[in-house]
Amino acid sequence: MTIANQARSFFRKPHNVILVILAVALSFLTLFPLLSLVRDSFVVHPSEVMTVKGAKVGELTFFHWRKVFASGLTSANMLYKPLWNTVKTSLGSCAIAILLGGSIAWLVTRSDLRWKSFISVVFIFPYIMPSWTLAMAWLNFFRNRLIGGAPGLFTALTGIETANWFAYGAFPIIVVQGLHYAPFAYILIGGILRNMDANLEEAATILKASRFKILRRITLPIVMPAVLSTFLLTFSSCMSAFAVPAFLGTPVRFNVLTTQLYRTLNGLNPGYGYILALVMIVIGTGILAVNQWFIGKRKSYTTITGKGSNISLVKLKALRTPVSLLVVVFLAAIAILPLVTFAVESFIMAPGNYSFSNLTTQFWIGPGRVDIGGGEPGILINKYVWLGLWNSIKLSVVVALMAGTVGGLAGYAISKARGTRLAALVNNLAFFPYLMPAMAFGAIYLSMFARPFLGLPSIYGTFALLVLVGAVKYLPFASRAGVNAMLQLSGEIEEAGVILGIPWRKRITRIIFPIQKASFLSGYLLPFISCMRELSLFVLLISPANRVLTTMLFQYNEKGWNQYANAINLIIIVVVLSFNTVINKVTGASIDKGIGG
Amino acid sequence: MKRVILSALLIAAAAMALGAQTKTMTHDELVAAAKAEGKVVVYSITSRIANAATEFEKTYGIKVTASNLKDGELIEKVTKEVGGGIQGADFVICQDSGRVFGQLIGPGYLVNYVPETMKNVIPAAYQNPLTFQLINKVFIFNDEKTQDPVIKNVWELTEAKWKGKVQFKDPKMEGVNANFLTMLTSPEWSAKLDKAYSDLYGKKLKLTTKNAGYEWIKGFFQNGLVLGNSDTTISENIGIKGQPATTMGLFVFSKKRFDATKNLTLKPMTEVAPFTGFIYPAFLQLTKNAKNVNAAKLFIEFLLTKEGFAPWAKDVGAYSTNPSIGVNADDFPVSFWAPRLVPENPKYIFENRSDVEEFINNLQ
Amino acid sequence: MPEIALKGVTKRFGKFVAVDSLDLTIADGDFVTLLGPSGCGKTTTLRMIAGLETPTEGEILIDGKTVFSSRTGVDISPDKRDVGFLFQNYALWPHMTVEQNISFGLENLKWDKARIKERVAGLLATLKIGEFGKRYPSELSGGQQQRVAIARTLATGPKVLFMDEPLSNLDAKLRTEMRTELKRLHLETDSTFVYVTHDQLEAMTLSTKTCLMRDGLLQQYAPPLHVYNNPANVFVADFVGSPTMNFIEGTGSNVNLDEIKIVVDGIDLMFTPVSGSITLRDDQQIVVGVRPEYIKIGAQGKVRAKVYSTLPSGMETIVRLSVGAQLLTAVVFGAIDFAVDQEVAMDFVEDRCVIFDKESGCNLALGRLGVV
Repeated sequence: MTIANQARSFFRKPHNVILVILAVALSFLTLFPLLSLVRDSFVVHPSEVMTVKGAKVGELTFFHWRKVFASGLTSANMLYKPLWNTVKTSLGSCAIAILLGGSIAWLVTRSDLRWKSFISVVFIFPYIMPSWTLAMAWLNFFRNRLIGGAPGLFTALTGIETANWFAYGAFPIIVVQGLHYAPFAYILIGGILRNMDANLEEAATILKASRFKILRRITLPIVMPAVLSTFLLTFSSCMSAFAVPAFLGTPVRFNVLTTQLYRTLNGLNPGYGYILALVMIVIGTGILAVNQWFIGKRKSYTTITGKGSNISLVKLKALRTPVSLLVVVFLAAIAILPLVTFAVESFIMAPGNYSFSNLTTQFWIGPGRVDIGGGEPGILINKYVWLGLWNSIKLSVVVALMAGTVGGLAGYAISKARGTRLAALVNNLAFFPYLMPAMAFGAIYLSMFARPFLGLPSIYGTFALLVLVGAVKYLPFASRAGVNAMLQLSGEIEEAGVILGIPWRKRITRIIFPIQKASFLSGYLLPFISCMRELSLFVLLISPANRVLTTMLFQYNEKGWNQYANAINLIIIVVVLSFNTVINKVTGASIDKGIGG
Repeated sequence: MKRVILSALLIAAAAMALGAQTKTMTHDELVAAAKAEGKVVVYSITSRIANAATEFEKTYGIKVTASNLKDGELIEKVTKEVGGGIQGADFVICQDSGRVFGQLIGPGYLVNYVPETMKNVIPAAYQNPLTFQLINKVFIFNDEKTQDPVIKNVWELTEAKWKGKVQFKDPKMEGVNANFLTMLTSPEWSAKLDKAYSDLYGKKLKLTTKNAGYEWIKGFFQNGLVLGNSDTTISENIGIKGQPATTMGLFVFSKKRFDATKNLTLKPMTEVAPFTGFIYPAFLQLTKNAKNVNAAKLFIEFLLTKEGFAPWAKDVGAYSTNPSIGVNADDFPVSFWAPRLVPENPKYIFENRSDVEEFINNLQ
Repeated sequence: MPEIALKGVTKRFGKFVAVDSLDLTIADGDFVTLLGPSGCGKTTTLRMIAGLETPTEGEILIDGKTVFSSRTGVDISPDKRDVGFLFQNYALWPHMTVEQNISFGLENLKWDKARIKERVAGLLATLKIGEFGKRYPSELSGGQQQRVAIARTLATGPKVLFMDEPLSNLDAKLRTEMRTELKRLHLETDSTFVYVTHDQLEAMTLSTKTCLMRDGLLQQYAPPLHVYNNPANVFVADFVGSPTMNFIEGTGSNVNLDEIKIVVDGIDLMFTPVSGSITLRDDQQIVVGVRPEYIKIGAQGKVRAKVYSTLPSGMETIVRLSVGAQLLTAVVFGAIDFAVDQEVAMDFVEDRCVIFDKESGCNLALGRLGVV
């Protein structure tokens, strides 16, 4: 066969065409930014003319690298301490997330816990809600007077002053992030437990092993690789989380890598920021490599599926009702109570005064008053809030459509060409954005697209840029959902269509998509939800005309306009939860399909 | 090749002629041209621009898109937009003179424009760059327990009795705060601080750092200083009633306007040695690539009038550069404040701020 | 001596009845197969005896001791029932080596290390997997995994052994080999085997008694050859035997003293019961069951038939014949290749044909079939 013929037969297969297009496009959208990031770490930026003395904008310099890595106290404060804080809080959060998520997963899949369907629905809430939700709730509750100002609800109710370490810094960050990612661990570990062959445990039962011994010697070792995987994924998520440390850490000058990143990129030293972003990407990639290595090990058993229906449930006996009640009360505290505090906080006039006479609807429907919040009208009659809501929904829908479609096609092509080098490349490229800390990703796109570039006009400040960055960032969710959907589908299903001469487009839209509708739609749902509640990705890219709810919330919060911030947060949560519920009820798609797998 | 250069020169000349022409517009012509443009985009460091915008829309029927940004954010945005040739704001109200001079005015991203009607009104000192208003941040305390000023000398803030009771907006969050700290390290202000130390304690200050300015910053920060995210929050934190101890902060004087609505009790101090706070300008500047130039010019002019300044004038802590606009009854004129406050010196700030910022970052 | 008794055992999953008031006694030393199509309740029955599933109602006794009773609330956990269980997918623990898998049960019995080692070595040798002791299950073939699973089950020397379709994941050749091994193991270990399968051949070849189930109901419980020769109903007759039994439907009536005339579309048959005389209702609808080996093809024969197809497999040949409107299956020993549509003569032989009542499906009588 001549090369031309080979090429022709290669491109006759639609999945090869998709792979080639994706390989080129994703290299451009993920690898190229990385190079641009590296370059930016060696360049004098406009805001650095004050810092890098005598240098001109655009000159090459080693100044940033020297300052970040090898300048004694400065480096310690810039990189090493925040890095240690990041590691510390991420490890702590992971431990909480996995213990809590794992325990609930075990209770739901392996015991006769009551109200399972309620628990499994509500437990997902903290993950669907924006990550700062719990942080804000924490502040609403445990804010103390030690750093001045109005105490929170807890002090107002009990009169007990919360300690500084309890209200701010590492401890609440660990707890809040742990709670936020517990559902994530629950989804992953629960998936494994659900798929794990119950016979493995029963075989041990018959051989006279005790309940505890089975857990220790059989169940735990078998789910351990999945738990490790969960641990690594949770760790990298915690590491790139910005909002929670920003809310809970800054009052006591507790810095982590992301808050440093935000400060440097927004401040006088973007060069430092680009280096910090690189550090985070290196860590993220390292984590992925460890994960891959672990999965590839001798004892590995990624596909452990058996007869799921035959699971015999552990009887909690006398503990059944107390444990079930405990879980439900706990869930109410972390999933429902925060919403109540937002509602309460959004209705009070003078901060810290929770008496009935202090309630007001000013921040919801009141006209602007210059003496409160700079004349900002109540959020329900504020045209900018409506604009932000509209922008948020518009952006999320467009991003979800793009990421979901491209991800679905990527999943299709990757699984069709499984085992080829091209498929592996596209698979990794599509997963790469997951490792990029959202804010660093935003920063790169900002620097890449702020100038006309490769003949393309600058799209800085446009809606298109937000769509692009969102679609690329959430592609991993969609492509994983797509790959999972395709792996569950036997190749013969499509081949039957090929034999009958059904064109490719029709095979996709009439055969493959309808069969795995729920899985593919999950690939749309997760980007949508993530986009609705995203802050760090957009915080650097938003321009006033494109403002979205989350960035408005962050601005209100920074200005200290607490009531507006609480009210907007409530709106975001209501939108996200209702979209999730409606889509889940109507189509059967659910977020766990995107991250599970 | 020659022809290309020639035509480029011609175009440049024509453009200059055009620019010259717009300068000599009468006020009516300006209004007409502005109305023809129909809209204007402004970035502002003060949120009350929204109220002024409403008033401007009412007066001229020109639509305003106003955005309230943080000072650093505004500077970055203008750099990106004007530098990248992107249509953004038509004019800006910006602060942080060190960066504004170095990063925006230096490369020519901002264009100075003084309205014809204001050339003889605004003092010459405020005309290049055109200054919109002066803003002051002063030491303010919670006067629930005592009406008397709680400090007489800034060095008292480094003493144990004030540990953890003083709040200040994080200088990383707002450039003007970093500017103020930078100014303290200048020869002039470090000398004043040195003297204030001797006056208070009757002994010479022992230096562990470069000068008395750095020394005070170190003492101030290391005395449990609470760094806030916003002056609004700080004003609430300080002013709220029923606190166990008297607290104080260094924040925008205008926040005193929240006293009534938010049930706060705030009182400024005017007699503290060697300064009772700092004062800084907010500039009014056209952007180089402004699209709605005439509407922007008209709005700039409007902001310098009594009507345009109304959203600020009714409260304390904002001082128009138009001398015909008086200060609030509860306030003092700039002439009273100026000797009591630390001003900005753009050149000194530009050259020294990064050192001071690094110094602060490394304080524990 | 372990004897297993089920009394009125019922298992419901929601509204679905998996097992319906099952009474069953498994004698000591028996090799009982629970046979039936998928979803008939056989696996559920096995799991209930082992204690992995809790019955909704009824009583289960092992060795005279009540291990479950819905009446008294007794429910002994599986580890205290002293049974072994071989799972369909082996359920080998992927994170343990072959040796660790086998010794796990012995550790739970607190055996000392030397004894465990000896026992494991012995089992590895018996099952011919000695060289794989240090490997992980994922590194073994299906047949080797199967042997490890058996070794693990046998290690603790249980007196009762439950097996849930243990051979269904193996290829045909290995399956035959393992069947032989299992039958030997049954004798060597001298224990009671309860074996679930949907493969009638396995049930026929292995068991001492077969328990046929359908939709949760017991159909017939008897030694396999009895089931084969004297099926309790049409379902059992159809399920057991390969190629399957021929069923001819017709209307029956008593004629002469003892004979029954059956009018079928195309031919009239005469049935002579050997198991005692029976009386039919008027125009009773009858199904006649004839095993393929009881149809004889030869030069002489009362019935003329046409060859529909021939399937020679070497040792025997399956011939499909069309007789009138009927299509019958016959088995001939040896390889004979008839031409399609060739005319042949045939006869029904032996006295092991069965007539069933069409309405209830019940076995009415065994006897000889002739053509009028």
